[in-house]
Amino acid sequence: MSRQWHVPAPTLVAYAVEDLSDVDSWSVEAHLVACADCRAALTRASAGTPAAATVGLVHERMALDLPAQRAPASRLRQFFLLLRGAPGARASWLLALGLVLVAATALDATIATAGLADRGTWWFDHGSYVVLVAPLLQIAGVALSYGPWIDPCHEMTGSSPLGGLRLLLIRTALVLAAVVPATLLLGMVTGRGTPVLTLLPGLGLTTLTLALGSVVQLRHAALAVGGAWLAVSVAPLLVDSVPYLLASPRPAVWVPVIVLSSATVLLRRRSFTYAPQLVRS
Amino acid sequence: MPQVDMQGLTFGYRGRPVIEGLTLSFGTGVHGLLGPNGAGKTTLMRMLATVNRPSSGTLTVLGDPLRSEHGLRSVRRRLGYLPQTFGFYPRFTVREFVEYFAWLKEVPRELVNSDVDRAIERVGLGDRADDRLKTLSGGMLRRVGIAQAIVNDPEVLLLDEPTAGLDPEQRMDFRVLLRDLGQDNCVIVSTHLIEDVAAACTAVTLIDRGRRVFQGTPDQLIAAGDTDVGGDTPVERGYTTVLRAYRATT
Amino acid sequence: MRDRHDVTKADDAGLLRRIVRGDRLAFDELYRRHATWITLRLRRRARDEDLVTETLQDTFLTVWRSAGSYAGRGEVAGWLWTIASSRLIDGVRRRSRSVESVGEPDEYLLTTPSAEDEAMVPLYDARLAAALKGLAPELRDVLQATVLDGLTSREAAVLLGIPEGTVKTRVRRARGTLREAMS
Repeated sequence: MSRQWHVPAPTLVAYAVEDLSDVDSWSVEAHLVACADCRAALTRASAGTPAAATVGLVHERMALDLPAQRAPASRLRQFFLLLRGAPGARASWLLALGLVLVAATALDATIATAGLADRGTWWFDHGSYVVLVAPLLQIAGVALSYGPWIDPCHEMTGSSPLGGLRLLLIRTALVLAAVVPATLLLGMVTGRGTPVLTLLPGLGLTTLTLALGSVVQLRHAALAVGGAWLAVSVAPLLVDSVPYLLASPRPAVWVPVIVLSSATVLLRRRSFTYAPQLVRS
Repeated sequence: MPQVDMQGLTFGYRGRPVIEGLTLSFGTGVHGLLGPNGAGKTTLMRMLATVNRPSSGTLTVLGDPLRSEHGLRSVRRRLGYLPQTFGFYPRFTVREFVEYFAWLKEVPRELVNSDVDRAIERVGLGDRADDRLKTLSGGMLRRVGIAQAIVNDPEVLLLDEPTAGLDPEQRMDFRVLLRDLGQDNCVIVSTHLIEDVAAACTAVTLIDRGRRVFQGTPDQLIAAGDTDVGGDTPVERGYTTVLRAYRATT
Repeated sequence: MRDRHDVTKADDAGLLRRIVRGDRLAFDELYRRHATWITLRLRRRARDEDLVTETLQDTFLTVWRSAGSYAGRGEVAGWLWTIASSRLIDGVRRRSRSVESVGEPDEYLLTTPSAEDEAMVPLYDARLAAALKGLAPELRDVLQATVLDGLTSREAAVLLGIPEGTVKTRVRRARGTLREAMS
């Protein structure tokens, strides 16, 4: 590394023995940060000075107790921690959600053989518990990942800059990232429910829950949205008609829902800034 | 300009006022916030921590009136808060927990590891950094709570009952830490342990039923004490005297 | 074992990448390259030998632990000094609380009067240099802390043992004096 200018040797020596005026020392210090050659020259010039003694002493001390190396603060670790902080990430919750999904898959695989539906009905030929349940799991995941009623650290979270909508969106993304691939995969295994059929309602109901969550508590929003989904999907089955939302993807319904809900969340983002007044002293 | 300034701050809960028209300010130093149970200390701390929004009045923190989303966010980066009910994730290690809050407080990536280590060392938990929280005693958990509060080197630090669960020796250590933090920050400590205030605070504020009763130095509070009121120590006598006098007039 | 041979050829950023993987040789090399200038710079800011020793050790322990967090932008030396100065402030804080801050406010500061007129390093223009030399020592201290070391006025206040307001006033005064001298 060659530079046009270097600190003259006498100046460097004077600095090394700490016998240089303040102002000149500033120039030397400003230059040293940018010049490896002068740093090396300074190290040579300082042999035998008190500074060199300190350098030697600290080197010896550190040789004795340098701790084991740790993983650096990576973006991956950050997301991992933010995910683990979600109460919904608790092992028991995850296990319950996983079990529901597995049970739904098992039911799907046996609808036609185990007499879960009458031959000739729509459900017998096309029905899928995974398609029915997957959106519910997503909104449950969102409701379980954020809020004073579920997060023991909500007060500290609520006073931090990343708390509020940002954290909620990070966690929502993580919930979707976990549930969506799983349901798609299971849908392929059983052959019931096309990928679009599981994807659109899931996204639609999740954004709708967030939008409603800007008005009422998130858990209530999730309950309302989930209940509505069940009612609209299951009611036709009881009277043996073809359920509108389950029979085909219906982008004409879901795309506007997703767009309008997302816009609502954006417009009402301030409502996530402060904690709901749930608790008091 | 004081770090925290409130003008006519009011907070109501279900129509019942908890804080009533409080006008106070806090600058650099350690401020003890005293008051009987139900005086509104915790509610006030929550508002200062920007967890709850005041019903009316203005609250200015670090020069920002907290009106814009952007201003609020930058103020929150410079806040530290230990709530009275300190919740934690039992399966996290001390380091993971403090790091979690470093991320939430948007500590720059390149500083996260060193700032986390530093916060843990400052509360004296360096040797327990890799232990899970569920294995720690109550006093240690409080210190973890303090570590997460100071991890971003906050300019306004709010500690609600930080000495609850600490043994006498730990309380001594904590006072030293408080004095240290208060040298160049605004530290507000809400407590019912009046002795802590006398030992570690540079200023005392006493509130009752959501209103200000007294603001001054610990010495001024002591000087206000009548000898014939109950209380084991001069500060307690001062506290009781001032509170009684206030209640007699309202 | 290949590392043993080329550790001296790696640049500073390369050394940091190896330190992340726990490479002690790379750490020793980084220490060899940077410890001296950091020590000298610390010594000009803290009179107490123990404080310098402690700060140097804290600094490189932090480097060892946080090498992975070097963002890869800018000089490694600048990054190292950022760590060193914040560790120095930590050390001053620890000390001032143990002596209960009754001592002289400038206890930890070196205030050597400018002793000699060494040939001026051509980084500042001569008039500015003259103006700087004419500044009162306490004004130079705040300039050193805030301009050269890039500390916030809050950090400078801790380091210099004076109130933050005083730091700001002195910076203003120093700037005014310099402006006058330059005009």
